[in-house]
Amino acid sequence: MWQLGRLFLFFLVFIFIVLKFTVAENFHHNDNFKESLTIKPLSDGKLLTHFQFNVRISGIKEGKTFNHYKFFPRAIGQIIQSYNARELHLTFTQGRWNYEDWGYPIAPSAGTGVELWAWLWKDEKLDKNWKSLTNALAGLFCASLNFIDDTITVQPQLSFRPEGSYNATEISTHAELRYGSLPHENVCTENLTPWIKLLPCKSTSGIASLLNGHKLYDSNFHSMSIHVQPVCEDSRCLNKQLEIIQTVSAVVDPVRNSGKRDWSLNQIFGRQLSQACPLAEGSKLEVILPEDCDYKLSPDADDVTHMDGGTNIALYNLKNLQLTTDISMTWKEDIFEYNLNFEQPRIYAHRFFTGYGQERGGIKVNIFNKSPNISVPIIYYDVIPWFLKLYLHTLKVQINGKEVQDNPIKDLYYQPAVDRSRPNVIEAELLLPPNSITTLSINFDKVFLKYTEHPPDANRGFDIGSAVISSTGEIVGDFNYLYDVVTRNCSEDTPRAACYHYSIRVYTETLLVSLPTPDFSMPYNVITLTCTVIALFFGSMFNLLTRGFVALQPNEDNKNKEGKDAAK
Amino acid sequence: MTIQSHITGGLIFGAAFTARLILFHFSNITETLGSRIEIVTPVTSFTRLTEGLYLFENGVPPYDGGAFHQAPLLLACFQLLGYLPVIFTKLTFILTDLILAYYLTDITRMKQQLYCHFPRLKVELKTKEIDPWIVAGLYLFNPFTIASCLSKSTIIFTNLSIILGTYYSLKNNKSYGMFWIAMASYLSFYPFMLVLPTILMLINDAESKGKNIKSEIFSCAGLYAGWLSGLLLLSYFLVGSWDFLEATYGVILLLPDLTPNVGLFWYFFIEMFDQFRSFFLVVFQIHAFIFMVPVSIKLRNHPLFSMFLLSGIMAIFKSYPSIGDASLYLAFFPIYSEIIKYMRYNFLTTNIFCYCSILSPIFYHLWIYAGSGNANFFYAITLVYTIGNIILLVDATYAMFRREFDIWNPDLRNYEIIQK
Amino acid sequence: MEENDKIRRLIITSFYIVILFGLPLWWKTTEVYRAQLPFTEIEEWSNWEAFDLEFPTHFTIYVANVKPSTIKFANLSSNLENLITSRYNIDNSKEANNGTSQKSIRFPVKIKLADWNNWMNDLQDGNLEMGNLANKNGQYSFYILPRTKSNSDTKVLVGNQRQAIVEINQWDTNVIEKTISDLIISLFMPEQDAIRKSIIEPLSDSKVELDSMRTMKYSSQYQVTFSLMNGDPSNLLVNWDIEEAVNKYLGPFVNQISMISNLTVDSQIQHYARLTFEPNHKPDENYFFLTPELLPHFINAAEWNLASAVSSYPTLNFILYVPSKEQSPLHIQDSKGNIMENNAFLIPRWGGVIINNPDRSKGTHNFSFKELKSVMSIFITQLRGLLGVHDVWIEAKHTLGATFSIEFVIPPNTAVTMWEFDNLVRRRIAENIVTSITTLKSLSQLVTEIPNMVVLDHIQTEVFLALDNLSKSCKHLHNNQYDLALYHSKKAIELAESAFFDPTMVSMLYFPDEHKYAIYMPLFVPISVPLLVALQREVKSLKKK
Repeated sequence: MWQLGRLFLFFLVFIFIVLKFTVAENFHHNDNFKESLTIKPLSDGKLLTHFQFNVRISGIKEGKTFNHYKFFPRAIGQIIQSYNARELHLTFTQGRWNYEDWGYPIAPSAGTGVELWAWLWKDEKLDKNWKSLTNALAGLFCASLNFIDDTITVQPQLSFRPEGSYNATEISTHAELRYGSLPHENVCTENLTPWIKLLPCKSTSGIASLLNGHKLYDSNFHSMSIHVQPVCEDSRCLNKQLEIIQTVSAVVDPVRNSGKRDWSLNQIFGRQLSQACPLAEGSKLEVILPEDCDYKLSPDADDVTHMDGGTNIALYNLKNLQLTTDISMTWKEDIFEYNLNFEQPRIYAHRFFTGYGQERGGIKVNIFNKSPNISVPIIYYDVIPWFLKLYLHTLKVQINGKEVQDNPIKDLYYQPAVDRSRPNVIEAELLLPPNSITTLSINFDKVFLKYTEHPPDANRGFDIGSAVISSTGEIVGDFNYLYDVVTRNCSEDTPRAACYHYSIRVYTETLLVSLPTPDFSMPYNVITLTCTVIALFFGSMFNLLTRGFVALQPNEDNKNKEGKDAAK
Repeated sequence: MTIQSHITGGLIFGAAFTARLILFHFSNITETLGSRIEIVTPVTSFTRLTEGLYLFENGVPPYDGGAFHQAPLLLACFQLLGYLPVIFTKLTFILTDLILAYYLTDITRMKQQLYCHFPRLKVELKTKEIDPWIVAGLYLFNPFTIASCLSKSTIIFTNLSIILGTYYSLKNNKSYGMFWIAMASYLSFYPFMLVLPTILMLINDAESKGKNIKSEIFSCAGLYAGWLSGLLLLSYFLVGSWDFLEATYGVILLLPDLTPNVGLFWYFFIEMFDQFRSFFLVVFQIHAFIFMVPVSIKLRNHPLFSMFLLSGIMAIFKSYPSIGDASLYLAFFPIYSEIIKYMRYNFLTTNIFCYCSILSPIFYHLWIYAGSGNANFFYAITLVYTIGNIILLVDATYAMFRREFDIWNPDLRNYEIIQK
Repeated sequence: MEENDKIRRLIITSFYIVILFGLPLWWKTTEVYRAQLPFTEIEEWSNWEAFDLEFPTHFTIYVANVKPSTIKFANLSSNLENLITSRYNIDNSKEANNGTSQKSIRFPVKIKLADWNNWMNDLQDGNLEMGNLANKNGQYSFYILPRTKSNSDTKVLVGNQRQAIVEINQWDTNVIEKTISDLIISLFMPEQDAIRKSIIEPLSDSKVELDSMRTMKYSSQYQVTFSLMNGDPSNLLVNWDIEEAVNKYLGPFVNQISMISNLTVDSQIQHYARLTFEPNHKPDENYFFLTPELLPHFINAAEWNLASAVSSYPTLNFILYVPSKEQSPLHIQDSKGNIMENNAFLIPRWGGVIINNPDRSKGTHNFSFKELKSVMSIFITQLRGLLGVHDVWIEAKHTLGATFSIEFVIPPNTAVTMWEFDNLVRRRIAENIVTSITTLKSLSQLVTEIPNMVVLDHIQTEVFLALDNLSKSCKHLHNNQYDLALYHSKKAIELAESAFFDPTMVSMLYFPDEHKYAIYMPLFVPISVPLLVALQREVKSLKKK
């Protein structure tokens, strides 16, 4: 009996040790890295290529710093920890995603230029942290992010909700959102190089070896992003991981060169894909197959999955596959004929200026809801720089060109601009009726800037960043319009409910506004002329007030006879 | 006052009313005028008032943004007007103009009564003094006045306050006189410099009645301060914060909005180097006020004329002038019609005014819309306009003093007179 | 007539009153804001007039109570003091020609004698924590006893605190005096030389000095980054238990040194870390090697992600390099062509590198906690060098010569002994004081030379605080309180540098004078002419009366 007890005790201790060991083991070595490349032929013959690299670092505790990096890029880790960022989203975009022809992008795209938004923990240094964050990222990516100052920074109230997993109260009470965008920024190789350096395998092996700056920047649309956000490790979300998602999307046009939409990896990227990154846990290449059937994919895919809504995805698992030949796709047609019936996404928008002249104008946005029978709630978000003075009382909403009784604006948040210190912000919650075009319009005055406030190329004008339309909700019916979103959401391990939850952001065009310019060569002339006029008045008035009249006698000029002046 | 003059008056006012009502009917005329930078300025624009009102009614603090720079009381008045049909807003502007003109006739009459004790020139003994209705008519049919009224520029309320202040001061009603001047300063700051002439009007009368002048002055100043602080407090209670001080007077003094107007400030401060901006702001603002005391001292016996002179200085050298400001001092001018014969440059000034009125919209269009001219075109016109105003003012002052000299020295009529 | 004149004067006066009221506004709106800096005080400091540095050291000599007592101890302490001071001064006078006033640096010595009664027992117990241990910087104890074994060497056993046991071969007053003074002088002379040199030539960067070349510029905080560089992950995946190793092996060192500088430690693994050159190949023995000439090119700064994205303080990099299959095994050869044992090298003012050639047969390799022990000990040695920790005893041994044998209670180079730590503290204090004075001096020169430079209030505050901390630091040095002196010298240098590098100092308002005239003249010349003429006329008419 005593022996048994002792054995039992021994057994317990053994189990404890084993458990402890494995837990510790998990704790330390759970970083993982996945890479994937998705290729999708678009309906206008162009080709979307989407690279995605996910690194997760586990065992993240709130308020506890981590200093030992395995796959997670140290630069990003240092930045988010030093500046207390909970979530960070940085996107560089060149060109505009063409929603009507291409559907929705696989990863949320952004407006032309640079867009940065971050949720920062509240503390007394929050605004300083935001400033330092922009500076650090500017240094890291060789971009002019440091120009995001108070006149550009916005705190959106309804849009850009956190995308990681949190308790709802945790993030809203302890963190604040900051948003800034630079539509004028040109994205180029000097931004891509530091971006690639953050990847565990850099561009040496794996699908990142396809990232070829020459080909990438020769595309119709190009977007490069970094998202850092916490994700839950288990279903009850007791432990969290920190995830960094790096994506590059590019829309290339094979038709431009050959008249055909056939493509191969070598043709698109000018490089060969040899092997997966040895560090990656998963490495895959997916081709979203078009609905017509007369294509041929070579070599044959490892697997073809059928998604809800009828989309088929061909999958190459690069981990097991040693690629000897180039992956290519060919159609049995001599020349690509443009399809005029594009699949249109459910919601998209266009924004443009109205009016002419450099004194005043208006902004008009058409928001389309193409779903035949569903009203869609959306949030319209627009930041207009302070040098356009908006008149909120001129805000008008029309549906299908007509004023309506029932105001579709459910909620409106408006922050008027203050000269030289903050921009105008409009956030409106709208309910778009089915199959409708909702038009928002607002008038503005253009502000006359000091001559030092104009950029060196003053007559080029100022860029106005994209307006953003965000929509979240459950997908009911009408599935086809959102299948890209669903594809993105639904990986093998996501629950079905989450997969049908969609969150899309639609970016409108950026705009270019020209402001009235003074004559830049004039400062001294203006000083002289204006001052002379003032001195003219001062001198004459001073003389009138201080000098009296005297009479000169007609015959004896030298003998003045003084008269009595006005006074008594 | 004969029946005939009453008929004249009725006709003038009726015509002015009808003309305005008809013109208001053409909404594109009022809209065009309401967006002309010569007529409305950032601190008087009706569009901006509407914006402020809209923000105020929707719970956004109206002074938080950079669009609205007008006094909170205007906000309250127009909120009340908003409950009535649109036509009432138009009627308000028309009636304000008419009331203003009416009190102008009264002021003319009082001036004429006052000056009948003064010696006059021999030549003038035969001529009749100007008919007060004519003075009103000249105001009402001044194109500047009509344009300013149709543009719904809120400068009209300042002008009305100044006229009422003058009227009550001449009537020797201390508290009303001071109230209206306080109201004018409250609405657009610069009328502060008109306090001295109004006090002079009041004490000139008191002096004649043998009251203690010093205590009169102090009671006037006290009344003015009291009314002004009362108005500011009332505004504070209306909008719930002191932000409006910076958004109204701060904007007038510091000029953050550089929208062109007919004045000297905008282009100067667009082009000015940053280091000297604040210095020149101080210089320009001091320059506008520097004449307040000397003019009042020199013209202590003609406070109404110094009222004219100071309104003129205000209309030229304030930070956001418009032609509405000019219409006020031009309204005072015919009251002293007797000095016109002493003026040397009538033809020149008239021409300058015509020239500017025609060329300024054209040059502005060339710069902003056609793109074939640049900012200097419009700047040149504003300079010419300012010079025109300056010549008119200086000439009128010269004429005033010259006439005075002749009255007191009738024996020197045949001599050549020079300034010394 | 009278009345007219009076009115006219009143009018002119009223114009002038407004203008007078405007003058201060003119001053206010166009002035370049400059807070007053204490220039004379800075000048005094930089001429070494405001203070003198004193680095006092106190020694307590516990003399073993050997019976029968053959020595007279009465004069031992004063004799020692005289001996040491005179030796110090010889060196001082050597420097006198260099022109710095001598009185500003002093190294006073105080020696106390005490009896060591139960020395036999203490020694047998191996208990070195004997007696009343001096545990402050600048206070040391020597325990002396006669050498038991008949050996001609003097044996020194260095304790883990600020004490040492000296076994003297000849129990004789003269020998004791000679031994102890030699010991103290060889322990402290190099340090004093260094301090003196740093004060006499504050900017000795130009001087080729191995020590100062290697040591990092002082900062109150350093970022220490350990990077595991893998040449090619496609046939060898590497990982390391760095977190544990850092905590266990480096932790004590970090704690100890934190009083001088804070070290924040992080680590990363970088893959595909390629060299920029091909290493030499030795075909017969089939290994690759790096010659000393190649080492400076070893770091591939452009590709290895070594820069810190955030920190503004200096980074120390330590790299564990695993070469790719095509280049392994990789060794370092010295100039004579021999393979170096530890396969490591130090890059001055930058960090250290270790090349490791792990077993490639399994395709993966994890540097375990145990395996990292030797790696970390090399890194720690390199880190000591970079932070300027001196092996005072080992250096002393070189000067003392062969007659001394030195042993250590704890082996050297695992961490920092108190002797080394104190040495570092004293040298850093001197260095910090000198650097902050130089910085303040340059600041005051800059401000005096450029009249258009804006000096904001917070700069002024920082300069005042820096001076205040300087004098506090000197005061504490006098009182033998090195900890406080170090603290204040750190504060002083931080404040001085933050004032000097403040971004608002750069925003200079430069506007040439002739442009100023062009701006003022169009308005003020035409306005002032009538004003002055009127004034002149009034003055004339007043004089006439």
